[in-house]
Amino acid sequence: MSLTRRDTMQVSLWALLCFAAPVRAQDLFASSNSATLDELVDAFVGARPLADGGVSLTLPVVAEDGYRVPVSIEATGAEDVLLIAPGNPVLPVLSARFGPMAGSQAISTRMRLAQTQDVVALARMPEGAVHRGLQPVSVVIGGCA
Amino acid sequence: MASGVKTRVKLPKQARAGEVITIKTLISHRMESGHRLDPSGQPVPRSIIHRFLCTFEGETVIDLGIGPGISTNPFFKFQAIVPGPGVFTFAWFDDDGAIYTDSRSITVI
Repeated sequence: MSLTRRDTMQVSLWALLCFAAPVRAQDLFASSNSATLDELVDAFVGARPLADGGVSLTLPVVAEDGYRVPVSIEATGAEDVLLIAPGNPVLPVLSARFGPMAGSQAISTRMRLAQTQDVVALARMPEGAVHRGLQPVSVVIGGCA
Repeated sequence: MASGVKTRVKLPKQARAGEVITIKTLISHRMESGHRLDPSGQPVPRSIIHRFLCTFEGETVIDLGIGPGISTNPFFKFQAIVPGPGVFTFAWFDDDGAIYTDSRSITVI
């Protein structure tokens, strides 16, 4: 069996796809992950177009207690979302992938905020775009994150 | 962290076919971030729940990757579709390799 040009093309395309596959969740949230905000956003967005809006990120404007800050992310139709706290020691806070049984593309939880910062949420849409939401939060008592 | 872990799940016992329900989950866990120092100045090793998975009859509802930025006793609220009667399963994955699971069946009216 000889390797045709088509075979070579297909193999290289697959290799490229595997290489471009998203980072595994465990690696993303490892304490050794010192990725900056720009690097995280670039890794999540890839070659897709990035636009502000389309993600509703709900946080209190003033967080009295940085150990427990309620946060809600909603991005109707999104495949997955990523929550980033640029002022925390480990920037990625939460990733959510919505499956076929999801009733909405929304998730609420409680997060730690080490200091006053602009919290970022990114959402990958099925048509290819990435939406970004931003919410500044004033933190009174920083939660060691 | 195998001791003192308790899971709690709240969802309706029954729903109409095709209805969207809200699910609330909580697991009691320290969520030690790995950035704190003990009184002797040594870093306390990280010990967190790093993943949460909810499925309905084998189909994914939501799959969460969790970092040390999530608070102690991780709480999650999300929504699921109930296509028919079945069982929701919930799994929390601990850094120490433990997997805590819970399940709830739902009937359709």
